[in-house]
Amino acid sequence: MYKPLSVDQFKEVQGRIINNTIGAINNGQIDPYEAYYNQIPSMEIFGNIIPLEDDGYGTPLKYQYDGLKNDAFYQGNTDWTEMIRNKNARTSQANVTLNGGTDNSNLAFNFNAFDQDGLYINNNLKRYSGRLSFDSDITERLSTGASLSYSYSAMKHGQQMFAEGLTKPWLVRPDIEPYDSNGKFTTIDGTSIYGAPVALASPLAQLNNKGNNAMHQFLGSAYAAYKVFEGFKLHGDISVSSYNADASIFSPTYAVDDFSIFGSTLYATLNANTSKNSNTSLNFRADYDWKKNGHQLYAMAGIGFDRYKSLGDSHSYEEFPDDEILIDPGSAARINYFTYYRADQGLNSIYSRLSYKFQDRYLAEANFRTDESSKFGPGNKRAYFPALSLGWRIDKESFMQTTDWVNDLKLRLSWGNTGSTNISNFLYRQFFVRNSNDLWGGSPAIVLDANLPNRDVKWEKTREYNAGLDFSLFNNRFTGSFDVYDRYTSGALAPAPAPLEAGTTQYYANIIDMSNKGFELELAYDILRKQDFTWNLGFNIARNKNKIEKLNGANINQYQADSYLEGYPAGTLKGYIVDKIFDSQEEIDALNQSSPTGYYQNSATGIGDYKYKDSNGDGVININDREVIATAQPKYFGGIYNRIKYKNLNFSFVFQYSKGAKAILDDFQNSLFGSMGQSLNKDIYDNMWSENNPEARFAKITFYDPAGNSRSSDRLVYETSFLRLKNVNLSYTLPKELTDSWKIGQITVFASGSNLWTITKWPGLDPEFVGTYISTAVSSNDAYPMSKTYSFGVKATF
Amino acid sequence: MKTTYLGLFLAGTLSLSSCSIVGDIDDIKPYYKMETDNVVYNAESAEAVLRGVYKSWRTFNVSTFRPYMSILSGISSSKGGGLTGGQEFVTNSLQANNIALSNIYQGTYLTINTANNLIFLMERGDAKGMSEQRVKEVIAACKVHRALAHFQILRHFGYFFDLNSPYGIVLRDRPFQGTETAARANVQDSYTFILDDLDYAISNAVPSSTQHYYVTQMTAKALKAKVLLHMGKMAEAEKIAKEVIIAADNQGYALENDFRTLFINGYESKEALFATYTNGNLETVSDLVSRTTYSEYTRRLADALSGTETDGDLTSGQGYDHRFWVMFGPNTIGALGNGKYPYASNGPGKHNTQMILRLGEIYLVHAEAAARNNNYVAARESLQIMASRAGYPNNYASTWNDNELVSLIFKHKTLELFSENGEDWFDFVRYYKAGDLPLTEIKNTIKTESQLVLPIPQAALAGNRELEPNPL
Repeated sequence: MYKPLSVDQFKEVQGRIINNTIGAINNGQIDPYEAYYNQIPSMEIFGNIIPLEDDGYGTPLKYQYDGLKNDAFYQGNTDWTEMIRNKNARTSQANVTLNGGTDNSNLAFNFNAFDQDGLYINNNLKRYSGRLSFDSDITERLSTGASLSYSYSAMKHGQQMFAEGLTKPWLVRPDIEPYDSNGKFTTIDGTSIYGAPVALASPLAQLNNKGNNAMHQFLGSAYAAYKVFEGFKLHGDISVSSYNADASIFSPTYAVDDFSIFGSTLYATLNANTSKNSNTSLNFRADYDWKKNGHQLYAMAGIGFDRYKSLGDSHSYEEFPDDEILIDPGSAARINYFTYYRADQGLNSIYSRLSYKFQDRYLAEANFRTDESSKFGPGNKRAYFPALSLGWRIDKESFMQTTDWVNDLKLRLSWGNTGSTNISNFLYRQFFVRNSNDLWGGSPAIVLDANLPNRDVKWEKTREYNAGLDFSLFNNRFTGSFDVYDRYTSGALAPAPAPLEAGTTQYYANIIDMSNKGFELELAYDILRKQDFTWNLGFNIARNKNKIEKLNGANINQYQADSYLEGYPAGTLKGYIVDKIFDSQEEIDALNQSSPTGYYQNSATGIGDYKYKDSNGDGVININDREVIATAQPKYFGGIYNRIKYKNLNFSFVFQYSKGAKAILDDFQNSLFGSMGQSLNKDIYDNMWSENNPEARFAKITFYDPAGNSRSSDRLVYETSFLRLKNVNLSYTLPKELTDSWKIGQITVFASGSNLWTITKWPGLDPEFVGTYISTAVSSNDAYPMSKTYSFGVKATF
Repeated sequence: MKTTYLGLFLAGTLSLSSCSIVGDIDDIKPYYKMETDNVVYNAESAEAVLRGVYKSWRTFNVSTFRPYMSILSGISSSKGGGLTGGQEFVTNSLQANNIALSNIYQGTYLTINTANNLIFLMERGDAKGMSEQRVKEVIAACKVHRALAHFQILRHFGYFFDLNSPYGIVLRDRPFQGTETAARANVQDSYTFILDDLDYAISNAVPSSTQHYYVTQMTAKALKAKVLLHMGKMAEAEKIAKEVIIAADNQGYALENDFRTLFINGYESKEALFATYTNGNLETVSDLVSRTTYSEYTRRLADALSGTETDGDLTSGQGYDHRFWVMFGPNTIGALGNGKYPYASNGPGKHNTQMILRLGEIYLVHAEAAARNNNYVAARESLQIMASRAGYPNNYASTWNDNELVSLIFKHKTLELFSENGEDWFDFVRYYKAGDLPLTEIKNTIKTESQLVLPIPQAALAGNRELEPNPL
């Protein structure tokens, strides 16, 4: 959790911003005519600002800052992050499992109930699920089985994501009391951002939105296997799953920002959406097994059909007679917009396998499959994926028989091909559509669909070579495996730059050819191996080197496509390199003099602002000076595992680590923008430029950042490396004599905790929670922190 | 053995019939989407796509950033300051990755691509049963939109003030099939393309429309006058503007008598040559006008034009230009902080329109072109009409010397069209290029000529290798 600024620190920041801004006006770095309408009115809310010189027509050219206004601040001392936190979020869970059967059949039933409070107030998730399954050998040749499961979950929440800017909880000014004298939520004045007294909902009020999500999930599957003759089997299975969800969020008038000062009326709103998805999968295959004199042959061939159907809608309603009860769609005055969609997709597959084993020593396997996807256009629907693997159990060789410290040694080699279709349907076609606001003069209009068609979009294919070694030594006390791989993905599907002249940016293509090379090493050792006392230590480390080898697309200007850069990993961030913080006006003047545009950076640059590096040496700072300042790729990552067992006591813990990835923290950019009336990120507060702190990491903060100090730069980039105690588990099984006497099978009491302890230099909420997509992997907006959880429980079997 | 065969038979039947249960992969079809081959099939479907072309002017990308150009010129001030990408407009230090730039570029080309799609379908004869004349009218309407959009892009991103410059814009005359790209045409060819579209529309568009949110021959002609003015073809600009002024009455266009009524009537005003239709919750337009206000330069201009330079009283309006007072006087300023936008921005009913082209502007286009052609009588006549509506005396134009007229017209046009389309910025650039204004006249953050053209957006450069950026 961030540590917010105290009231005094917050006040000090307001004074610093005013002081810096007035300094910039007085030095001519901010146009006084601009400042008169833009900066001065907002700063006057907080500080006493005295005009000094005047241009003769009434506009001041210089000012003096004469301290903060006392009445600009409130008497509160509120830690908003604490206000909205659910201090001890409780989770409870109950599980019942019944198993039974006869010689020919098995039956299992499982029921689970789960109730979890969220990390923030007004947040709760309940889930109930049940599963029923049976298997039966109907005749000697025919066996069948089926399973059905159903789950229902209901989530109540105040708000799903933090708002930007002024109402991010740790940036809300601490001097405001959360409630007014009537017990109502106080609002936050947005004048300094909006130029008018907009009343913003506080983080506490925002969490009083009424969100309800419900999800019904059904999974059913059945199979039948028929033995035609010894070694030859037919197998068929079908599975059906469906997910139906309803979600709505009602925002009462006291939980939304009030812009009525701008002539819009403040209304409560209700957003509701539903979705229905089903997935049907059908498979038939034949297996053949043959064995003779140490030769072992297995052959399989099958076909599969997958169909996915989805439909859904959403509605947004406005103006309700009431904030608490009449908040259903039927009570709304109007509808704001509505959407509807329906889509099908499908995949047909043919697959086969042939494997051969000789004396359990030499193994060879060939796989071949071909898939046909509905997502691609004519000629591109089908793809073929062959694979081959070889194995050698070295320990089975006669020359190894004398080395008895080797229990197991196996060498694996493989070559394989896989494919991916991870895009939406029909992106190869140009559609014309209509949305609810596509109207003109009250009549419906038809518009171009936002997707620019790619007629050639096709399967993304990956070729992989893999070599591995598994071993088990010293009476199986020391085990491990080592794998190296080399993957090459051709035509990875991703959003690609499109000609903006098409009027859209939505374009998907097989844009990237990339390689992934790396290794994985896993080792485990039994430190103690006694009757009543065992201790197993495990360790793994992995390294993956991802590299964009080539960008496909004849029209792409690769230098301008920021997210993808040849020779770099996918997911790079370009930004400015900070040379230093300016400490001399002469230096700035000289740089401006020699710039072709009259400015090295811009007109507002002054002492205390960043000096960005002129990477291309043209004398002017612009986007062409940006270099790669972060990539999301760690140098290595892995975990450390410990399992200790002493008599009936079990103790285990897991560490995870990752080293070398970098990202930019968006929150810092927000703070460097210098909004008045907003608190600052503590890290910035502790290390920002002032005359007394010229060696600071962060530049001076000026109202609305006219000098551009909040641009993406290497000063805002941090390693996301971490070492984290991910899991600790302690359990105790009651002595058998005791439970036997109670006529109970077994009773175990347990306690566990997760995410208990982390070492990281990442200043954001959670180094593990930096974005996951290519475009967001190098920046973090701190959506939601990971929770520390502690749980205690009892497990009984009968 | 019997069960073996039975089993095989069952398995075989099942797997065969499964094909028919789940079906062929080619049977999977999109729902509720039309395509090039069926979207236009009769007259009404063609009209629906045409409405889609119109609707593109209301999209977020083109409508939201309209106030920005006046911030660039210093005529507007950013109020507060949280305008997305707005700070670089304030400091005239635009970077190619400014989000506002790519939005304007992309959004304006959307109009072009939508119009090109419909032109293609109309020319192919897809609108079965539509009269030949109406087909031409629909194509003509599309060409007005295409011309207007190309013109906007040329003014924002091209060297529109220099007919000899190679830095025109990418011209599009057919729908995108995929990612086929093109290089920038030179400025002369860009203008020729725009004028060709307008000439087609002048010959073929509907002569008039009672609904002023539809374009007509008059719209095309008025736009042509404005384009010619930008080209510096003053003789033609004067002639065409005059033709528009003379013909307006017969085609249902006329100046409003009262400046304020013009904006209360909005898209229903007879002065509007093209304005966006806005009504209710669904036909809304996003605008940041409430986040901007006048600058000190504009206030002084409004003060100086009426009475002395320092006698303005915003409460009574005394000593201020009437139009400025309508916009910012306490009785008419309204909640959005600008009297040209009198309606609420949400809820039911009529909303604020975006006045894309109106007759009042054409009077000033005529006045400027005439003055530059030394036709001072004609120039004074048109200027006087606009000045009279703004409350200036009936002999106002005649109190100024001939050599003062060009700069006087600039001032009136600035106040007349303030916070509509950023016209003040383009006029500033034109006047500077014509040698009528120094570079630092308005805003002291404008230091070099390279600041007069917006950079080609980085996103556009990324997707089109042939696209050349503007020089520094």
